[in-house]
Amino acid sequence: MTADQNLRQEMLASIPNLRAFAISLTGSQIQADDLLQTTLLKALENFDKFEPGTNMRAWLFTILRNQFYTDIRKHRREVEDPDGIISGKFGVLPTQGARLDLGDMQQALTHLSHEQRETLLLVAAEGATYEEVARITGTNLGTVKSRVNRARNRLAELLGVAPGDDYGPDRMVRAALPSHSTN
Amino acid sequence: MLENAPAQTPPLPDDPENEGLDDAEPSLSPAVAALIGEGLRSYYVRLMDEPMPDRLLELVRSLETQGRASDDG
Repeated sequence: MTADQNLRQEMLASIPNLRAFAISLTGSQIQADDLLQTTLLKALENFDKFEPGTNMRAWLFTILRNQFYTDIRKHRREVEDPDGIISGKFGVLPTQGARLDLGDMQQALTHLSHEQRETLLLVAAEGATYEEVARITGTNLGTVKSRVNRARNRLAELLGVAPGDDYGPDRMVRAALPSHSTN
Repeated sequence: MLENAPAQTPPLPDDPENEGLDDAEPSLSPAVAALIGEGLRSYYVRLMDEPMPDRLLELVRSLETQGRASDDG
């Protein structure tokens, strides 16, 4: 397999991640697909500018993210909830338990700023390091850490999960557990 | 996973989000942080599994074809 084919394979392999990121950023599958299509075409146009040995996925995420902000500036539209439909529905707290409802998660994410959302998703869902996110988003390490922290706290608040909550056994379960008393 | 990312822009020392981090926000308990992290990953995996529209599939197919053609030629 040639180097060029390897790079194209890397690009193809990144598409599901790029699409998930695009949907998370825009809050709309249609806008996300437009964004992804533009990103892939731009990447192909600039394929010769990609530096072999650097990270293809990070390069693609950077293109997608820059295109997203270009679109926002160009159209000056509210991208994550154009009709206020999601915001209007939001407010129902999820069932407290060991798992979070994915619909609630999607709704809660629309209430984060674009910067907080992209940073949190890159770290928590993509598994990128803070340093990698700082490079992709063109900011510094402290800002990345701050955005992650604030985004997680805001999500916890929106999802009805208090920052200090303990998700261990509830009162009824604890009552049924053997006592650790030494008496 | 994303090591060796491309060119960066200069840091923003005056970014207000970068100020007073430790004092400004409480830290989540490990259990809550894990719950949020798991929820985000599940959400993301579901998005990755969403079927792609035909126009994107066509683009992907053309990418694959170009890759093969450049390999052959």
